[in-house]
Amino acid sequence: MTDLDRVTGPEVPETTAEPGEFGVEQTTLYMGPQHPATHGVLQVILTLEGEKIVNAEPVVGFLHRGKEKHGEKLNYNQYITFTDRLDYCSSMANNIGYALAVEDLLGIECTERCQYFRVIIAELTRIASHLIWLGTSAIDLGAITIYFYTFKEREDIYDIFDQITGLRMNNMFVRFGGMAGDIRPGVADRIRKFTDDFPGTLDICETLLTRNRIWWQRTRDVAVISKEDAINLGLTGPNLRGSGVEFDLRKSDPYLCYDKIDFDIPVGEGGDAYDRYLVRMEEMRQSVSIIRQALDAMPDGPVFTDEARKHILPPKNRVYESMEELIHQFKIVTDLRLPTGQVYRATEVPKGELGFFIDSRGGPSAYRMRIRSPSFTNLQALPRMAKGRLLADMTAIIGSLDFVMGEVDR
Amino acid sequence: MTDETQLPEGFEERVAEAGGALLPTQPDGIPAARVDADSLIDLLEALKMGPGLRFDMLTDLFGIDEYPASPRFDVIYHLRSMATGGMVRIRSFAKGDDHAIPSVVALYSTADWHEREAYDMMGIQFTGHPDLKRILMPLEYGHHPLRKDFPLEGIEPDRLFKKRFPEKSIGSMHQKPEQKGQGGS
Repeated sequence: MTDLDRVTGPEVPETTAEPGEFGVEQTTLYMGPQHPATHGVLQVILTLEGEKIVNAEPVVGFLHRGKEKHGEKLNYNQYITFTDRLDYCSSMANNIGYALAVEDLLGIECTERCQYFRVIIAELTRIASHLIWLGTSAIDLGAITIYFYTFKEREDIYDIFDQITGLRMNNMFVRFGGMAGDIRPGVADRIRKFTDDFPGTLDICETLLTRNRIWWQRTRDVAVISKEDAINLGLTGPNLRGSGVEFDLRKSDPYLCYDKIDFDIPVGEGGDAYDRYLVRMEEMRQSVSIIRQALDAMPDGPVFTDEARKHILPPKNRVYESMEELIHQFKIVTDLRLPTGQVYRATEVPKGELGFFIDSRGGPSAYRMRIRSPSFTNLQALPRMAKGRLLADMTAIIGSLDFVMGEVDR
Repeated sequence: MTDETQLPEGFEERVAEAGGALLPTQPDGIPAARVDADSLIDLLEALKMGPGLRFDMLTDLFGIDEYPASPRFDVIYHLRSMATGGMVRIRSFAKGDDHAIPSVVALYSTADWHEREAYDMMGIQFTGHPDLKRILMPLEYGHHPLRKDFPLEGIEPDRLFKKRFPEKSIGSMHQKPEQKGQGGS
């Protein structure tokens, strides 16, 4: 557990009061789905007494694309693209979660080099996702400068992704049993340079926010969620850890090579928006350290496993030379059949626990494809956080929860 | 049956108390059990409250449609213990013609939205849920899209649109067969 630099300063004056205190008539306000602070198409039906929120009811589903239904019709390889568009701020982390679920079903493990490669990608994605959260949630509360710093760094990460995969967003680079290509030496240096430069930007952002009086007043003791409530509501990720629960799937159920890497899990104490801010800031620093260690420890070797050839794509260079391999590739791309069984695989993506449950009954596509998305469960905490707060706190609450509607609605 | 899986302490006894049975281990190695819908709440309560290992978080709740078999809907509960990170899977069939199963919202408040989703997508009735209404589909939608007998292209997709704009057609979104030069009269 890391000790967070929680600032002890002058007490923030109490702003909450019991609803009905002012004897004002109740009004209903529809916030969204086109409100800029809702970060997507979220609608919140607010019942107000003057400025005070009596009740907040989130309305979701505006971005529902039937991903689970598609999972029952598309074949397993085609479905990788659909996982990209779940949480579009961290697409490759979703790819990795899905690929791990399928690999569990096949009973294979990817090569060591591939594991380190995936860890580097996952942590870069985590930083990119947290940067978007930091920039947008700060701009919602009036701190515009942060946005430019964070989006410059995020652009840097997307350039790295561009060099690795050829795409900036929705990369679709992960395959079952490996990655679509290897990490090139030049890119490794580029990532190393990023890990050297990035903490400086993070320091600047912390200077602007952590001890900023306005930031305190907008986030401290706002949207408090207790430890018990957080567990009961099924919160995961930084929202859970901000409430003081030391739980991270990378530690409790180490997948890939996280057990070989030394890192800390930041944990908050108060469970307010400020704690969640501190947790995410520290997580970015930990991610930088993970990336550095992974780059140093990354062994040479193939990125594609040689096991389970019946289910795994052949190496691309052999496809170009050999007729059999070409047929084999065609067969896998069009009609990949997995062994029967049910598998649930959860991974720690930037927003929390992303789980894929695949019920395979031997067909070319899953019988049931269930996506347990962290944002969907985290968003449930919104009414409890908003009750009794002022209308102006809604932006702080929504910002601190850090959800993406693509993942909520699926 | 479950030789290679490490069963959580006391899990087998509690399942037996609730009249359930352990299920064969799946490739993910998560211990699983099936119980009757009537004793579901008792089992989940015993697993949550202890004594011993406490599964205090409901990670996920969803249904599987076994159409055309009967009973049709298999509801799956993924429980996780925050102390160890270990998981168990409880499965139970929804009962009767209206596919009813008791709601667990009183035990785990996270079940609220998950049950609404399962109701919306499959039409499973969670008895005792405080406000069982659709969550992802429009409130006035009349079907349950994740059912196996629901076609992928949807049922009457332009119904909602027609109601609101009776004189217009979706047109640009759905190319008519005759425009493509195939079929049509």
